[in-house]
Amino acid sequence: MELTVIGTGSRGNAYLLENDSEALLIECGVNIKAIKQALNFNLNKLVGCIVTHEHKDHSKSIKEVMAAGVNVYGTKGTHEACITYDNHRAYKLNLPEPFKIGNFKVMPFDVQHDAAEPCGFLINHPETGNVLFITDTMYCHYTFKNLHNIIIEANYSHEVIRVKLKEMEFLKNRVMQSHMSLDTCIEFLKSNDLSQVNNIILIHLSDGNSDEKLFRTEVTKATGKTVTVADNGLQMEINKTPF
Amino acid sequence: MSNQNQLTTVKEQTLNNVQNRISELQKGGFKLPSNYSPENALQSAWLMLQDVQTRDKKPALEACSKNSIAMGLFKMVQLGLNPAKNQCYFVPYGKDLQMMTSYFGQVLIAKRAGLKDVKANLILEKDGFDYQIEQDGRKVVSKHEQPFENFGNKIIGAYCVVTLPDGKQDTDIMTIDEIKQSWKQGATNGNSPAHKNFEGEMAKRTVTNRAIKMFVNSSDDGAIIDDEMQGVSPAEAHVNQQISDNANKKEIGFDEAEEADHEEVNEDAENQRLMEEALAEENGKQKETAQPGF
Repeated sequence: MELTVIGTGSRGNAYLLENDSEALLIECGVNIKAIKQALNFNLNKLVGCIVTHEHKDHSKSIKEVMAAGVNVYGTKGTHEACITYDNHRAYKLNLPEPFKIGNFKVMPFDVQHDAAEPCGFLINHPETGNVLFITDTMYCHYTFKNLHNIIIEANYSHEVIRVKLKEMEFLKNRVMQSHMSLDTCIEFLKSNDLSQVNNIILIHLSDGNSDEKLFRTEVTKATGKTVTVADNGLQMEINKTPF
Repeated sequence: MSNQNQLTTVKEQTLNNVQNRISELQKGGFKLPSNYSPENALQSAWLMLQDVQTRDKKPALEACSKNSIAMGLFKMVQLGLNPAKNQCYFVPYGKDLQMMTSYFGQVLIAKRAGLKDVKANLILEKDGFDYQIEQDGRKVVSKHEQPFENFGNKIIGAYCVVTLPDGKQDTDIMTIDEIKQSWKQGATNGNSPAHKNFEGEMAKRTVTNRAIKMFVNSSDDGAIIDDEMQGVSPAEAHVNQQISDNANKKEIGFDEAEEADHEEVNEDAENQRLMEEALAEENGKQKETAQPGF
């Protein structure tokens, strides 16, 4: 299974899990053209799109995706906030009820973000094993069993934010209360059983308040796993086994 | 009676809320000044609040929103002020209860922040008063002669000398016109009994307030932060607390047993099939071997 990062960060998020026969779109916060391009214009492959919350950097193209005939899965709150509640392509999720799209089994769970009803996803596919997708949250309530791949937000570092946003108390507080710091991310990773994990992919790094190299080193040091910092356009294999 | 009961419930709720919030924040690393007891301050604040009235003589505790009351109390604790010593007072503005730091409170905060001394004097008519401005911009009083006969003369100004942590002194000087102008910004326009009867004392407070304002408002929280612990803002402390209380607590995931079952079933089925095949083969062989016998 291949992971394509169409977009990451506060300018727009969209991630694609794709093999020869099917693809799952995670988030659609980029221009629809970019999504189509990433799929090589083969939208038939797309079994569905899952959206964590309504903020534009995660849901920008939600209506276009629906118009292209793709079912979009999100919480009731998310669909209400996106004004897509009544669309027949809108599938409303109850947390944490698992559902199935194609061969993807998905379990949505609640997260802590300043949106209507935000969630994260645990995705299972025979090829990838359990893939955790978690972004835009202050912290995660849960730990997860048998993870094989982790896609997780590491938004800011306390050191950087203290200096850079010293004069902007409001923004600093907002970031702290709705995004995951490097420390929280590492603490979360350490709380989980990582023995079967192949890849840790860090997403949604804040442009100003993070440091790619430092984040990668710190997470590698803490977990001993292969850590990749997602950049727009990144493509990589994520599978259940490393080979 | 029912009114009294109502007040008691409001009190319990509000006080508990503020107290809980503070202890929660403290756990998360939020620092209060040392030698300060938030409980004592909250209790006496509550007693004082009972007598505070709005302009139309309604009790502030009924007229003001619970949220603004809690906010006011919280601000008081955050600054480490004691209302029993008149370091702060509560003023209702419509539905909002505001905590205002008094002159004493300002001096306390300034001293806590490291100011060594604050001293104000009046300048009376016929006083021999002179000051100069140093090269670094600080004003220094070079001469102030005030013979005893001048007592009772008209007040023409006031000045306040603050001694900074490094021992240097700075002075703020105001003419009586400036002082009266600043009183006009107040609610009573400078016509309160205190302003009328104790003009001198009030003038000293005004100039003191101005002299230390710059120092207080531009100080960091050095005074209330332990050296070992890096300072965290209330918001940060709250975030830390929430994270340590709630993060990574519950395990979820796809039911592995279910999956395992599937696999086992599959394996069983596979084994079964292999065995059947093997048996069939054996049987077949037996049959084959048996056949020629017939």
